[in-house]
Amino acid sequence: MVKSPRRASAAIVVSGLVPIFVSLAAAVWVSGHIVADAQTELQRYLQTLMMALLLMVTARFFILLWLGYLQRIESHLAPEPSIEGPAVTIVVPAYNEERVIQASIRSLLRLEYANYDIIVVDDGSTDATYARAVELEGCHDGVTVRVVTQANRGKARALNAGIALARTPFILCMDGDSVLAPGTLRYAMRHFADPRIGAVGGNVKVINRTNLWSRMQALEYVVGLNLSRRAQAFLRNVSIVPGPVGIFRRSALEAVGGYESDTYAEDTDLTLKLLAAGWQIEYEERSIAYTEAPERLLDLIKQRYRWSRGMLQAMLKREWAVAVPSPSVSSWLALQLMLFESVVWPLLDFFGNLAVVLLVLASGGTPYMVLWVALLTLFEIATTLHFVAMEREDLRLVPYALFGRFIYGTLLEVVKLLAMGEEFARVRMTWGKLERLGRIEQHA
Amino acid sequence: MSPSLNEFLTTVVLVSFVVTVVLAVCSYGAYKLRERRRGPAAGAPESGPVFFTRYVPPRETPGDARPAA
Repeated sequence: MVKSPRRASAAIVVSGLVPIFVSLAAAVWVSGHIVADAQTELQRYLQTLMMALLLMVTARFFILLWLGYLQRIESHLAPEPSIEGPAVTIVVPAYNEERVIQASIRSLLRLEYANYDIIVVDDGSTDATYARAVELEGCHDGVTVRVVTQANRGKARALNAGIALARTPFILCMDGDSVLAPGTLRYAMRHFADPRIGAVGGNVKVINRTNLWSRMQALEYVVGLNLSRRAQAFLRNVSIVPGPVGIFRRSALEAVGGYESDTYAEDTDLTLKLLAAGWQIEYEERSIAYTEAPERLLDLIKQRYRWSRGMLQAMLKREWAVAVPSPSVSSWLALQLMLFESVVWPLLDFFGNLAVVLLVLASGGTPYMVLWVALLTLFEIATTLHFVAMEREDLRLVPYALFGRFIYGTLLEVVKLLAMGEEFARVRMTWGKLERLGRIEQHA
Repeated sequence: MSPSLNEFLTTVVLVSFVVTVVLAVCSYGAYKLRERRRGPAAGAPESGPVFFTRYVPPRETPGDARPAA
């Protein structure tokens, strides 16, 4: 009989592993039959590609799952942190965030931590962001809110301006359109007891789950993004401290020169610099930032276009470091993982799915092939159940896993591939600010 | 598995993949067209390629960031 919430959680997680193993084992068995049924050279070729996809899915998943599971055990064995700790400055860069900036600042005033202050850097907004932020300026129960403004120079420089104004040994950088959960600082700061830790990345969740696109993203954040981040955290080698919530040791930030403006993924770029300088990077699942996700398909494409090109820019900046394990093995490993997750994996997944479709076209579709697709979908659902249970997330997200691999995943992979093509072709790119819908204000 | 169910599921797999790829490519085209029509956003950070400029945080108040009145 399950007696405690922790045991219940463990039971759910372990039970989630069973269908994952069963569906994968069955998919491997079915693949064997499909290969045995091959009639022509083309079919054999496509089937080999399909098998390669299956093997990659399996290997990638189990490596990430196992490391992530170890990270979770390690994280939950740590004692409950206190609200006392070293001083932290929260830097909030804001450009045209008039609809959400007050909700964001108010969430910061509710943090369960005894020693912090807030600096809002208005990056030359053309709307009322500055005026709305100034309304909350002052001292609130021991927490000082300071608002500064500067000519528009981009997010990286706005963050650097805030970091320069901070006088504390630790700095939390976030987005002006995000709200933080009360335990964010308390849980993140415990990791800095280890002097090798240079930064801690938080857990980003979608706040506006209002339509198909935002719910798919909510699920993607729970399953896809956290899957790899947890695994990397076990190695203390997180390759992206996310923009909505990242806590940094000030000395580490100063040593690497803060944020840079030469890529469109300043968070990825900074993380890679910290790793290259020898700092270790942790992940804290209870340091949660709620962020507004695009609700329209074209806005989602705009966001992913920027992410894909930005990550590629951050990697291309370090082209030699990708090939040679230098200056540090951990930064090289992070680059390899990033290269795999952002370039190799989308290519493989897309062309693997294409192979399935071509195989169906070439052979007319055998029962085994249909079973193969059905089993992989089952695998997707089982995986989703596992992570939704682990994160204690909303179970209503699970049915969206049905569209995960073959529809939502394929759609984003096509966008990634096209964006990467443009980056290699050096097509000019502009920042492309997403229009905020003010959902944070509604949910906060 | 009955042949009709097999055919139905095969069709579902085919149609969903093809429709998704077409949707993705068309949406991407629409996005690029929309961005071209809009032009650079007002107040967007320095237009054109952004070049590397290492930022060294100063010890005192930064020059162009001013405290609110």
